[in-house]
Amino acid sequence: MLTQEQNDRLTLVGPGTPMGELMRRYWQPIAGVSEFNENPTKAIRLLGEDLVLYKDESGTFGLIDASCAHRRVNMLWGIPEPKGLRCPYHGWLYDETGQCLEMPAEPANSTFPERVQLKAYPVETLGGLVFAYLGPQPAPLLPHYYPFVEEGRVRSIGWTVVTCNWLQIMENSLDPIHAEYLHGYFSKYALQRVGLLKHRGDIYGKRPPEENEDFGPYWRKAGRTMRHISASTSRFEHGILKHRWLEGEEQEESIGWRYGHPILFPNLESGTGGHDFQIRVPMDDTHTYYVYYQSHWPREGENPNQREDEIPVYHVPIAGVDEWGQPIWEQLDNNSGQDHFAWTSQGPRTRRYLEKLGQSDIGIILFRRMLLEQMQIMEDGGEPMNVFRDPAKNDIIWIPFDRMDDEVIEGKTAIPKNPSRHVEGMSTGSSGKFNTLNLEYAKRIGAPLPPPFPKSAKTTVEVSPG
Amino acid sequence: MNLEGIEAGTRLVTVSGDVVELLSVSADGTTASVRFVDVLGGADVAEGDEASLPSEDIATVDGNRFVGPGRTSSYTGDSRA
Repeated sequence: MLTQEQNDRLTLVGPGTPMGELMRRYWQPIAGVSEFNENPTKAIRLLGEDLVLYKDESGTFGLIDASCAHRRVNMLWGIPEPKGLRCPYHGWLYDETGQCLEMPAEPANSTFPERVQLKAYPVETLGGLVFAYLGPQPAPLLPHYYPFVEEGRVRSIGWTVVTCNWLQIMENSLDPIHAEYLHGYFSKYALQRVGLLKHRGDIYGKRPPEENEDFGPYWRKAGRTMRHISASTSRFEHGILKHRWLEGEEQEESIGWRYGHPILFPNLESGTGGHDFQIRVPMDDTHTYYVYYQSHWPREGENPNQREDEIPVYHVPIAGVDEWGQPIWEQLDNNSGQDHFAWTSQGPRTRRYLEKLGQSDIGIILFRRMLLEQMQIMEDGGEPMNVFRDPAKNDIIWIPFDRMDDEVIEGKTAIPKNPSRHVEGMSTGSSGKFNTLNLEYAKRIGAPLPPPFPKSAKTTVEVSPG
Repeated sequence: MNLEGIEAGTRLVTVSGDVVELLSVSADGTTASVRFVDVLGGADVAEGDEASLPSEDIATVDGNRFVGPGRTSSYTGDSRA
């Protein structure tokens, strides 16, 4: 097991910490562009720093210290001007570099503004997201992964704040086996609890799940039973590939075993087919800003030519417990709800020095090794992996999983041009239950809609010692 | 992991994430004599220390691809429950 000191090294992300410095070498998404159609400012907590992201009247984004340099008033209440953001208290005006431009109450010929600068960080937009870079200059290129930039895709952005450390979320992505239980057997148990299934079946495939024919239509169906024969993980140029060899597959012909499922270093998981991203951005040591970036080929009635400020942003609620401390099963009938309680119930920052890993945890072991290696490279003055500086290689970055051999993959599993994951209009996993595009599409085709999300009395982390 | 057929000198990864070099395997295959090469995990050892580990404490062979259990018990139906 890890020591407490090693757990700290891997998980603490504030300024000056090894992991915090490593994460500062990468652009991090912090908001959706379309959020600023209504509100010109947004409070941002990123890597332990409190900041305000704003869009001024010229359309320029700025990310500056949350507190005005004058009397420390929070700039969330700031007034957007043609250039910059003005403090609501005494009118000090700052531009996107943090430079103070005006102090209205000071003498007209004062040079004081020139000598006042707020902390500020560069931001860029891509694919409807606003990204920030908090690391040393020169900043690397913002990676043009193909879901962000490929023409013709319909995009949407879900977000939530998960009340736990970023690493236990990422480790979930390096753990193929959890899909068999949490998103398989437990998922069927959850569907049994809400009444869709009469019986959940068993984990050995000896008894299949039984549907409750009296229940009526539901927004999703029970997923297939996935049983792993084996699992593995491998390094590739952008991070780690997670491989599965499942029951019913010949090992050498298994796409999941041969190609794998990409995890892009350090905090991005590609969804099935690589066209959806889940990005885990450390806000601080115990909170994670979570982005569900989804892109798909247009369905009937959808516009593939969205401007960045037209890409919808929706909130994904977090699972919790009811007033009697019991799980709320309607929150757990989908992958994101199942993941949320699993991550947060490990505690705000799980105590890895108490855990017991087994042979099936090789992905977690490899990821921790990679993080420690890359931290060492950075501390020795080198550049960590998966940082982009060559514009010629950043035109569009294809992720190998789904572009290696479309013809081969097409016959075996969901690929980017195949919308088959969207059963009757709704994605059955991830945050699809809350995606506004999916809900609109489901309404258009008359598919069943998810039930309302019940309110939690407490969060999962409040009832979990970790 | 099943250590059958793995030669002495092979680098292995423990479930703690430490890299060890295999020195020998017991006749019944349940115990490995190892030397610690790279201590990344929390084992109370130093590089170069030798130890005897249960085969279950060995996760995989070190390399670019980490391969997990050869056959999971849920697949084989070999539950201990």
